[in-house]
Amino acid sequence: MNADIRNQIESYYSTMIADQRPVSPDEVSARIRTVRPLPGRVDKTPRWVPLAVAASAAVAVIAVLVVPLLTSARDVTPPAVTTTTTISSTTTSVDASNPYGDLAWSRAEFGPLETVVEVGGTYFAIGSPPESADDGGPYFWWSDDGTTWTKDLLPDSFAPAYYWDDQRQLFAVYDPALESVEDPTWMSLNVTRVDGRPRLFLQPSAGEPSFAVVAVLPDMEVDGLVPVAFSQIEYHTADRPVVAQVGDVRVTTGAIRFEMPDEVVAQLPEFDGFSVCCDHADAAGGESIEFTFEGELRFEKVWKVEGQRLSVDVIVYDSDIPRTIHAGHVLLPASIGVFTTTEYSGGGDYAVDVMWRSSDGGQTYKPTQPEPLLAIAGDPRTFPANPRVLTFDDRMLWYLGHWVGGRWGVGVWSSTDGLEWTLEQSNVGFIDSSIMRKERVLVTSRSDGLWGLSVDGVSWGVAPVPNDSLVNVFRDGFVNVRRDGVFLSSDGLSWHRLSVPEGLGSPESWEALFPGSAGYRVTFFGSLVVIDDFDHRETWVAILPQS
Amino acid sequence: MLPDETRADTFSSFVVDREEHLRIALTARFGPDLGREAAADALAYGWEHWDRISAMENPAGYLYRVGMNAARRSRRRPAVVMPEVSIETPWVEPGLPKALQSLSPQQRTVVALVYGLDWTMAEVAELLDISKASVQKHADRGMSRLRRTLGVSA
Repeated sequence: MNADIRNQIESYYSTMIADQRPVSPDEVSARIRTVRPLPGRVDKTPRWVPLAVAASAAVAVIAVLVVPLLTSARDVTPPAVTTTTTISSTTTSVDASNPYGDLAWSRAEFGPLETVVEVGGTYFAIGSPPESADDGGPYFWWSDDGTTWTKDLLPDSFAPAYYWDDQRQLFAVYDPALESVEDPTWMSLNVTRVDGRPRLFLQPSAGEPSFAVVAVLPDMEVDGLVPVAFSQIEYHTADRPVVAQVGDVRVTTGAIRFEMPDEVVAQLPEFDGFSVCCDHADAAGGESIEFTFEGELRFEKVWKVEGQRLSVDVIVYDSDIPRTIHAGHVLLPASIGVFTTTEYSGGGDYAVDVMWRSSDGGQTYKPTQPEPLLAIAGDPRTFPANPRVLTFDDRMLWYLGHWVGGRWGVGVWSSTDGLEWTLEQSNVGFIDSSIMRKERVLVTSRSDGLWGLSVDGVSWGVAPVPNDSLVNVFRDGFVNVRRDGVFLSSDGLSWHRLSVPEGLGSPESWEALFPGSAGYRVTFFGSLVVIDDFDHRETWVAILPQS
Repeated sequence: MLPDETRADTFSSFVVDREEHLRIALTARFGPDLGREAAADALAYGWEHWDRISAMENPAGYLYRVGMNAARRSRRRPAVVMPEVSIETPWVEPGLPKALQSLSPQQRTVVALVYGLDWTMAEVAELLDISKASVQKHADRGMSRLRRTLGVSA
């Protein structure tokens, strides 16, 4: 029956693809964005050889037609440094779509930005990948009036900030992780300045106290997004407590459904120390769920979102990826990382600073160090490791890619309460995969061809595992498929070689090895092989035709 | 910056080599209409940023994400719609499109590419820029859910 489903899927998609035309150059031309070309540009059309053209003809076409056309197009593409495309912005109220209640929001049409700064009456906006300049460097936009903007290269020693007009904070936000933001959003936050030092806050990537605010649209697809908006907040200086005024605060969090176990039918957010809040969503039918809950929010509280089975009220799933949300912190989608690792599709740099913590019930606050996960900066697509929190007895360990000596390695932080984190080790190894956990053994493959192994997350050993091998960690052990054989291990340290029957060829030619109900299964050359590996009996149970 | 001629040549070669893969993968994820639109968007973006993208380790994987974002960004476009079973394939269960639509995007993509279009795990992993283990996981979960939805046993 399984094979029958596969056949049906194959028929279905084969028919679908057979009916589909290749994308034509004209279709691509119509999509060339208008932010880069100069006025009067006559041809921005990319050309390529149609797929149906024979290879020999393709060479000729490329040589005779394509290159000249492309060259022509490039001839009128504006040089990066002197681009002077002007975008006229029109500011319109978007209160009707404002997801944050009473906050005053307005939006201007704009190019992709990260941050806007005002320097001597001129506003600057930092561009971020993928909208970098032609030479790969960052660009910025400048404006004398905040309305008409000109693009230019980013000068050296330029620091992002924001604009403060003595009444409000104004800054444009573009987060490429917020996938549906085509236009950045000018945000106006009603923030009361009480210390004469407004630029100490609302400044991404700045020192404490600081935070970033993320704007979202109500119909936006969000993956693990936690935007936080404050209707009214008072700030004091860094040497005095921060006091959050009581007011309505709305927090929205989302999680990607598909990463959850199938048993999870809902997620229930709850306050730690507060009454269980207010909303739940039935996730049985959707790929994502989203919560919105309103209420009094204090900085020190910790929120948790856990998967629960509604019918029996038993927690069936509690992700080891951070699900703890610190109220008052603003988390970017990838930073909250609930289930974002495989779905993250943004780019560019981002950073989130965590501001304050309290250990006396909110009476006093002091600046807190950035949490490891939230301190990520850089393009998450390049992260070699997915951030994870693993719980060991009375403490937690937090792993993620960590910038060490010009390369990404693994950093290990420990914490007993999830609020304060200590960097235990920053150079576990330069890895190219996530840290996996098997019982109490942590495993990561390293780019130097070794396995990093640890039982406490802090002290790490290595095991010689060739880099070209296929290594998987399953519930009941480790499997290492190598050129010279298949190896099994129960602890990741001692290995047991599994003899391979003749006729199956070198294991390196196998396409995949994965666990099944009857043992491990290997797919190769159109056949499905079942290995009964339990107890290392080395029994090849069956070779089944993969119809 | 790439010389114009090199830029043209390399982009043309890339499209000849990878347009089909890119389009099919996005079609697998978003359906034929939205997927094709997304592929065109991705290629347009690729052309505009070819200097940078061509230097990447996995340009197709990057553009797949660009296309994925483009499809998601557009609020004017319809939701993912899997076409009904063709009359040319009457043996295909009519409920299959709806069952496929109920999968997560990643599951649907992987199931389509692996089981529907005979891509290898490695090919899928490369274009989706995920590990082969993740491909396997999505494939297993997707098939499991399909079987459940269609009421068949493994």
